[in-house]
Parts: sequence; structure tokens; C-alpha cells
Amino acid sequence: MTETKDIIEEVTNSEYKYGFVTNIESDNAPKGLSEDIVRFISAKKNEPEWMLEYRLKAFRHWLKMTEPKWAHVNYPTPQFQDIIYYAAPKQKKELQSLDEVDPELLKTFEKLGISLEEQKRLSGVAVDIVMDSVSVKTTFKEKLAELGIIFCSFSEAVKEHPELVKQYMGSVVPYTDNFYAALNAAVFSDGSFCYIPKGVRCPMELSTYFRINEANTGQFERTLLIADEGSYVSYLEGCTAPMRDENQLHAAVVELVAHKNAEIKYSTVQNWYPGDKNGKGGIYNFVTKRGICLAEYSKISWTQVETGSAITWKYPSVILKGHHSVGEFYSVAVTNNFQQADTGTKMIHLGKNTRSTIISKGISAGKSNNSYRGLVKINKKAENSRNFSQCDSLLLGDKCGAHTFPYIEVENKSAIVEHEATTSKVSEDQIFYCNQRGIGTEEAVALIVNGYCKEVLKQLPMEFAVEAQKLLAVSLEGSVG
Amino acid sequence: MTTTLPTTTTTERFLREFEVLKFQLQEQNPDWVFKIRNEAIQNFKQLGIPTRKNELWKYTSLEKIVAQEYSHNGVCNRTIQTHPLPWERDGVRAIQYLESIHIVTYNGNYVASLSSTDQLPKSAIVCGFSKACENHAELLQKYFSKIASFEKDAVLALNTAFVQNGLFIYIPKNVSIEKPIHIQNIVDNKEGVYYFQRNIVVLDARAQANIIETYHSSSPGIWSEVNEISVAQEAQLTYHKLQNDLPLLKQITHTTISQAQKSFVHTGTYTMNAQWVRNNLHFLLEGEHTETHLNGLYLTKGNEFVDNHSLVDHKMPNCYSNELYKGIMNDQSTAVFNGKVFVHKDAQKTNAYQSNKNIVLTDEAKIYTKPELEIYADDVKCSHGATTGQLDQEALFYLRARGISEENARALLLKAFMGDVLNTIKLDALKKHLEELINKL
Repeated sequence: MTETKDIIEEVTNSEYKYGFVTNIESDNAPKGLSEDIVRFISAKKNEPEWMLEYRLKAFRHWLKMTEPKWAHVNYPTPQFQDIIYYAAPKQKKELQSLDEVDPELLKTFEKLGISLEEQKRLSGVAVDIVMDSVSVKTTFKEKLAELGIIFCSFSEAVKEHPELVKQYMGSVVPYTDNFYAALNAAVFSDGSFCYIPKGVRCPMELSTYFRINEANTGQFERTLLIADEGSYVSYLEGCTAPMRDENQLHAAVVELVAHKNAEIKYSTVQNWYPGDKNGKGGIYNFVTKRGICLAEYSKISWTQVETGSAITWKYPSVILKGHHSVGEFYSVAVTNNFQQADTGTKMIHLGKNTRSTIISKGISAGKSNNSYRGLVKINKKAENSRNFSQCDSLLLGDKCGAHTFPYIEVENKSAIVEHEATTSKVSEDQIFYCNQRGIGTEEAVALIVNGYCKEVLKQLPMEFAVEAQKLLAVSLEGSVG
Repeated sequence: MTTTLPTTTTTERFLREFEVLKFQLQEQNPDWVFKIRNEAIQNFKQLGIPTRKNELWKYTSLEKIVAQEYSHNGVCNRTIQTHPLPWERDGVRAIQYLESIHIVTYNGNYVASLSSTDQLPKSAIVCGFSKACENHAELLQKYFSKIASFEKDAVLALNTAFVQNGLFIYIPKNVSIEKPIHIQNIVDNKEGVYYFQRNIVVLDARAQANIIETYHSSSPGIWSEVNEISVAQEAQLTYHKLQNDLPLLKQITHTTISQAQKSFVHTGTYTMNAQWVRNNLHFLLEGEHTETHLNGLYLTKGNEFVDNHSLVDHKMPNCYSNELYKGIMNDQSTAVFNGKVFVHKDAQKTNAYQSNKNIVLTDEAKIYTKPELEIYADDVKCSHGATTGQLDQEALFYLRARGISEENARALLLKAFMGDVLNTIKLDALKKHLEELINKL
């Protein structure tokens, strides 16, 4: 028992390993937010008039909104006027190969153990790196272009594919959706854009590596992913951030659109700086992620491994509009020290014969709080729709909390909705069983936690699963891996 | 001043009504009661009538319900028509074959002449709320507004400010009441009235009682009822509430049960033939090794609306709670279920289960369910489940293949669905009575 306690203490005391700052000159906007700043950002990015109009509309709407308070998290309100809304590394010229990339940048990625070369060579992953808001490097672009796949930064898409951006941007997450979505729409710095044409199966995993670098800069990413009829794409997103004292705000928006017979698989590994062991610092992660299954037999699947951020407030959702469409949500959320996570999903069933699955695994340690909050709504016309939800919580230590807030709204008689949740700790029996067989307590906890998360981890693409395990290990250092 | 206000909100209306009734209320009860009323109305003033933005009232529009202006039920209104008895006249029967100790309230007032409390041991107390304030002040002060705090609850605050009627039941130490106590609430007033009821039930150490509460009313109005129940150590209580005969009277009930160590409580809430009901049921587990069962059954049809909110507050270690609520929604009716299990930091070795199962029979019927767990202790076993679905087509086919008509097969399956809840009722007469009521639906 004491040994278990030691491990838990070790877990609680482990420091964030990836805290370091890369010295790259930044082209920052002045602090604060006003119409002028919105115009400044838009001008900086050489955006067309319609884009600026959209931003201003969103900004004016944002002014009328108040910050949401309903989540099960506690934090001081971010001072929106103290944030720098735009920071771009001073790297302006087009890059053709890795040699031209700032060596400082490359070192950063090496420290994280995800060198571009390696990824390029071994896994065939095209990486669109977002470092402090501006895409620095896009690889494999030519190869993808052959298939007609558009994979570029958001600002590039605004310039080169305005018709697509105009058509889809805000169609899933309108700027009126919520406080942070409105803020994002007004000041979004950059992000990724992806379009898979009809009948194309994307041959490789598309990936973006987010990284917040400048102190005091909120990151406002915007991702738009469109899968046209009969296409397939698997998209990866992962993040780490350097150690900082001030809280940094991150309010991203991700929109997914799946047309008839299309399938989108969106995986996230999130490991931003969670704050130190006294709960100081750390990222505020307020993200709006939503996908829409527009037509028949389309499918959207979210997988997430959430280990970082001081506060996570995130509900990747699926609107199941097309008949026979499928929504999935797989999540592992780990909280330690003073971290707070309020995460879950929304499955909105509109079409007939729609199906959704929710598997959520929460692990809380230290003095953290981990909540699952989810909505399953079966609309009046969603005949024969089906949902299964399972939310499990694992508690390591007696000062943490695990909570479940599922909302189930059923308005159709033929729907079948199931929800189950359990809360427990790693049982002494299980550890004893392992000990008896010569497995140390540390390894035993690792084994048990790994087994507990397996259902979700196995959903991740191969390349990502390794990284996910690494991050789990960092978050629960001493007990995993 | 009031004339200048373009629209008065319901909150303001209640505040004004309190000013009007103030002196009457002051006259009625001793000062200590009035003091609590005053605190409550101040609190209500701050909270206001909850809107749908309030998480606890997300699916229930209370504002709309209380927007209806009714007069308040005065305590002076004691004239009772005893012949024929109201339930005989309405064809509403008491629970058949149930040998019970009767307690009757008529328009909220306790009617000793119709009650059979003489069967209770002398040491036990049963009386009306106002009388208890005078005669048993010392005892009542320990419980009134002490078990259920109105601090964060506007509806409770409102009830506390206006409460005029109700019951005080006290079962002393080591007294076991064998016969069930049947409280019949009869409302017979053609005009719509606000009834503010407060029942205080106290079971002292090792006491034992079974309480059944039923309602009979064909009159309109709003019935706000707060039950404060204290179950002392090793005491045992079963408490059944049957909300059956309420075609027009809207009900807002709040029950808080405080349990001391090694106590046992079983509650059953059965709602059918009720127009609009909101039930709050809170358990405060203040001692170790308590056992709690919460069961509920709600059958809605027409435009009926039933909302069940429950909270099991595990404050101490080694407690056990088990919740099972089942519902069947027909026609355009709506049901809401919200169950919460809260486990405090020190409540290790808690065992808490929660289950909510629903059958939706039509596309117009709605169910909103939200089973919640909030856990701050690590050595616990907590789980919950919620399902919504329809009758199993295969089971239906199985029965039909054996020559059972579709109608009968459906009835059989629905009966089996409800069986889980009904089978937990140990009082056979009550169980039978419920089955009969269900058959009539």
C-alpha cells in the first residue's frame, strides 16, 4: 500500500518535461482586442475583403456575449485585453525543403522526439506545422496535389480556394455558436484546411503539429476539413507547449464536413503545459470541435488523448444529419495536480438509422478534477437511431474528483439509447495479483492503466499510438511506461 | 409605485403578496417561525423564480406554472364538509385492503376527526403544522427549515415564507409502528389556490414506520409541498408517495431526508394521472453504514409532465445507496429524470448505484434523462446506467407466435418492465393497488 502511495506521489510530483522556449523573433500585434486589432490581423495576412467582413461580424457579435460559466471548472477569467492576438515567426519566404527551415525550429521538434525527417521517411506523414499561428512548413503537398487533395494552411486556402472556404466556413460552427467560437472567428490566426475530392482515399495520415511558443499569445487555430462524396481521410493533431507562468488562452475551432459515403477520422493528442504542481500556469484550452455528417452513410470518428492543459473545456460533437450516418467518440482524459478537465461529446441524431458510440475513459490523480459531460439527442424524425455510451472513471489518490454529467434527450419511440458509467480505483487485488507474479507495483499500475485505456488507444493510427503512450507516461510519470 | 411598473415579474408578485399576508402570518405563529419566514423571503428575493437557464430547471418551465395567479390558502379556512366524505363522493377510493392508520388533510389542513391516530402509541405525536409550532416548539425548532436549507433554493425559500399547513409526525425512540400510516391529502376547492405545505417527520433512534402519502383532487391550483424527514440512528422508514389523482392540481414537491448512522430508508415515488409534477428528493447521509433505496415509477400520457430530480449526498463513509427509476411515456407527454450521486472526499467505501430506464411509446413523447456522478473519494464503487428504448420486437413476436394478441402482449411486456419497481414494495395492498391503477390506464 505504501508503495502505491509512493507511486501516486511520484505521479503527483513529476514535472512537465517539455517546457522550454525557442528563441525565434516574433512579429507581434499590440496587446488587447478591438476592431483595429481585427483589421490588423486581417491586413497582416493579406486577406480579401469578405474575410475581414466575416471577422468583424463575429467580433461585433462577440462583444454582446458573456463568458460561459456552466462547466465544472474554476479559473480566473482571462483578461481578454491583456492577450496578444497575433504572433508570427519572421519566416516569410516559401520553403521547398527541410534545409530552409529555421534550425532553431527543427531543434524544437527534435526535443519533442518528432523530427520531421523521421516522420517523413518512416511513417509517410505529411506534416503541416503550426508554430505560433502561422504555417511554417507543409510537406508532401505535391504528392497530395496529384490526387486533387488540398491540404494547406487556412490563410492559403482563403486566398487560393475562396469558394470552398466561403461555402463551408462557419457552416458547422457558426460564429454565433458560443463565446469562444465567436472570439476565434474574429481573431483566428491560422490553421489547417483540407479538402478531399470525390471518391479519393487519402493515402497517408494528415497531421498538424500545434505548438504554442510566444509568451502571452493566445492561439486561435481554425481547422476546416471537408470530405467529399465517397472519400476517406484520417487526420492527426497533436500538441505540446513550453513551460510558462501566465495562463495562456487557446480557443480553437475545428469544423468537419462529411458528404455522402465519406468518412473522416480525426485524432488528437493534446499535451499542452498543464501548470506546475502548485497549479500555477498552464494552458486554458477552450475548443469548439464539431463535425456534420451531411448525407447518407457518412461517418465521423473523433479520438482524443487529453493529458495536458490546466483547463480543458472541449466537446467534439457530431451532427448526424444524413440517414444511416455514424458518429463515434473515443476519449482518454488524464488530469493530474490541479488540472481540470470538462470534456465529452454531443451526438445529435437527426437522420434515420443513425448510430453513435461514445467511449470515454477518465483518469484523475493529484488534486485534479475530471468531468465527462455529454449530450445524446434523438430528434423526432431520427427513426431507428441507436446510441451506446460508456463513461468510466479511474481515481488515483483521494484528493481528486471524477464526475459524470450525461444528458440524454429522446424524442422518438424507435430509438434505443444506452448509457453506463462506473467510477472506481485501481484495486488492491489487481496490484496484488501482479505483484505475486513478479511484476513491480509501478509496472502493475502501468499495465492496469494501459489496459483501461486500450479500448480508446487502439482507435489511434499506429504512428500516433506510440506518441500517445509517451504522453500518457509523462502525465502519469512513475506509474506508466 | 406599483402602477409605474410596466410588467411585474412573478418574483415581484410573490414579494408583494408576502407584504400583504405579512401580518396575518405574524399573528398565526410564534415569533421564531416568523423570523425564519422573513429570512426565507429575503433569500427568495435574491434568488428569484428559477428560469430555464438554471441547470436544475433546464427542462421544466416553472415560470410559466407560477405565472398563474391564485389566492393563498388561509389557515382560517377550516370549514370542512364531512358528509359525504370527499373521496366517496368523487368515487376515489382509499387503498383497498390496506389496514392503516389514517391521517387526513383537507385543503391542506389536518383533520383530526377523520384521522385514526388513536391507534398510535401515546408517546407519538401527530398534529397540524401550526399547532406543532405552538405546542411542540422546542422539538420543531430542531427540524423546521433545518433539514432542508432554503439558502440556494428559491422554491424552498418561497415555501418556507408562505407555509401555513402541513403535518408534524414524531415517532419516539424504540417505537415501532406496525401498521402503515396512510396520509390522504384531499383538495376540494373549486377555485384555484396556492397550497404551501410543510410536513416534518421525525423518527427517533431505532424507531420504525411505514408512511404512504396519497392525493385526491379534482380542483385546480398549485400544491407546493416540502417534506423534512429526519431518520435517527438505526431507525427504519419506508416512505411511499402516490401521485395519482391530480388531473388539474399542479405539484411541486421537495423532500429532504437526513439519515443518521445505520439507518435504513426506502422511498417509492409513483406518478400517474398527474397533470404537472416536479419532485425533488434529497438524501443527506450524515452517518456511517446507512442504507438507502430510492425507487420511482412514472407513467405519463396526454399532455402530462413529470420531472423527478434526486440527489444522494454521500457525506460519510461506508454507505450504500441504490436508485431505480422507470418510466413509460405515451401520447405527447414529457418526462424528465435527473439523478445525482455526490460522494464527498471522506466518504470512502461508498457503494452507489443509479439506474434510469425509459420506454417511449410515441414519436410525440419526450424523455430527458441526466444521471450524474460527482465523486471526490477514490475508494468507491459507483455506477449508473440509463436506457431509453421501445418494446423488444423479438419478445413481442415470441408472445404473438404463442397466440397472444398484440395488445395483450404489449401490456404484458410493459407490466414486466414495471415489475422491477413494483416488486420492491413490501406492502402487498399498496402493490396491488398500484397494479390496479396501472391496469386502468
